[in-house]
Amino acid sequence: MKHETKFEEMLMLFHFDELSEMETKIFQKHLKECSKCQHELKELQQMDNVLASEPEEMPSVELVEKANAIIMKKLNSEDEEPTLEGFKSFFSELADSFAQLFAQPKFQLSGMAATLVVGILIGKVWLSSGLKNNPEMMIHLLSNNTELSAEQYQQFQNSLASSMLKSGNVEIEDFQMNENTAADGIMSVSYKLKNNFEARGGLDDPLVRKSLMYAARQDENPSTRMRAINLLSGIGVHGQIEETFSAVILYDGDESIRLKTADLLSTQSLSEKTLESFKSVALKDTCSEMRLKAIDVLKEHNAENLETVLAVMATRDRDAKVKEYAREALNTLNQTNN
Amino acid sequence: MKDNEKGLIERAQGGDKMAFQEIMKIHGQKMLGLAFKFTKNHQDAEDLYQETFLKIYRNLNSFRFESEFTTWAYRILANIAYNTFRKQKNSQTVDMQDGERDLWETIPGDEKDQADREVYNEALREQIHGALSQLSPKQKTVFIMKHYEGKKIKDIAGILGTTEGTVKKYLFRATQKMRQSLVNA
Repeated sequence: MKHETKFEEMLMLFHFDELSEMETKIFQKHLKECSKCQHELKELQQMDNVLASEPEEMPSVELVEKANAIIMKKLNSEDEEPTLEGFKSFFSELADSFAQLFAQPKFQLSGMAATLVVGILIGKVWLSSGLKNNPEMMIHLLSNNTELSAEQYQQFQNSLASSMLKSGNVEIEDFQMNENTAADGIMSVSYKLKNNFEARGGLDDPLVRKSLMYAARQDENPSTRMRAINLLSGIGVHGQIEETFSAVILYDGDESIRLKTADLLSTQSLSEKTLESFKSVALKDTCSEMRLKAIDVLKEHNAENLETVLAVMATRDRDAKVKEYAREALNTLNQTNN
Repeated sequence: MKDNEKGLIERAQGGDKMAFQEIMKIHGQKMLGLAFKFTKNHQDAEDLYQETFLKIYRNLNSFRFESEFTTWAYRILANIAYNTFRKQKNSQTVDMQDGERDLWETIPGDEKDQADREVYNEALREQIHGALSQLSPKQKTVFIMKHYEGKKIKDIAGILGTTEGTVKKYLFRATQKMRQSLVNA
């Protein structure tokens, strides 16, 4: 008679102690009468014995310290990497992409064709000092190459997007949060560049971060800038993201974006550089609400030379309400200092 | 979670790298040991460890203290391991040179003399590694989490973002294959 499949699964679950009390009773009753299950259970126990006899290996403290030092080095070098680089870097990175992508013999023909396009690109760059439209040639060439896997195609697009972002000759058309597919609690973002191709990556991907910082500062569409800022705030407002937000509160033409970004910054611990930006906002921003917000942030963070800023605002601000607020803040500060 | 650790995480979330270094110091040995359980290869374990902590740092602000930090970190490590298994499916990995391997400490487990033990351990490692390499990436991830980590099926499903039924299915196939490779070999 054929052994029931349900008992085979129950045997494994019994072995791993995953059956409920009721199921355990049912299976134990079956086990007493079934020689096949008895034999297999014995084999599972033998398997455990083999696995358990493998000696456990633990890393030494020295090894952990060595690995940690490598991680710290990588993290520090990421922070130091400039957002915009010159043409030299563009070409070297592009060349690296090709070297990786076309290393396999079956891609060598495509590699030769692509090298030709790079040659054309170099000429165009020198002639027109811009890359607009040219990447489409590359994309077109690669789109028609059916031998490229989706992964290779995506890898190439990401490299090209990275290079274009560094050259500053790209506009971001759209980006959106994707469903969490990795199940590790980390969101991913995809964004579309105006040169008709898409790059994808998680929020931990430096390319995605750079794209978002670029969009937050440069995109012509206010809603795109705002969405980029919101996504960046989810990563954490420090380092280059804090610098980006600083630039936004100083230079964005849209009041509501400046206000929202100032709000996001206000809850963080801020660098001296950002506090200097808030001082400029307090003295120069055209929006009264922004100037009031700047006073709050500077007070909250005990900014240096706050008295001077408040004194100037209390006497010269064009808005009576702001003047009054600055005067009150100055009085409170003086009382506290005394 | 200890207050001290919570404080360190909060500081690291604010961009304090020294605090992050302290976190790695606290959890490093356990996490690297875990990475080895997944990879069974010293070099791959170190790569997995580095990738995990880089991802943890970059995503630290999404940690909301709703679970233990170690649970969250384990989840990230397990998912990276699974993705690595998928990529490595058709490629051979090479372990590190002997000098580097000395930084791993083997915990003695039986009464055999030193020379015999080393030969025996090496053969055993090869046998287990060979058996694990027969498994698909999902079967391998699930089996390691169940057997080596003693995780409950429900927890494995949560970590891998799948159903308990699916985990049972992979565990069943993996256990059958491992039993055949290790017992009937």
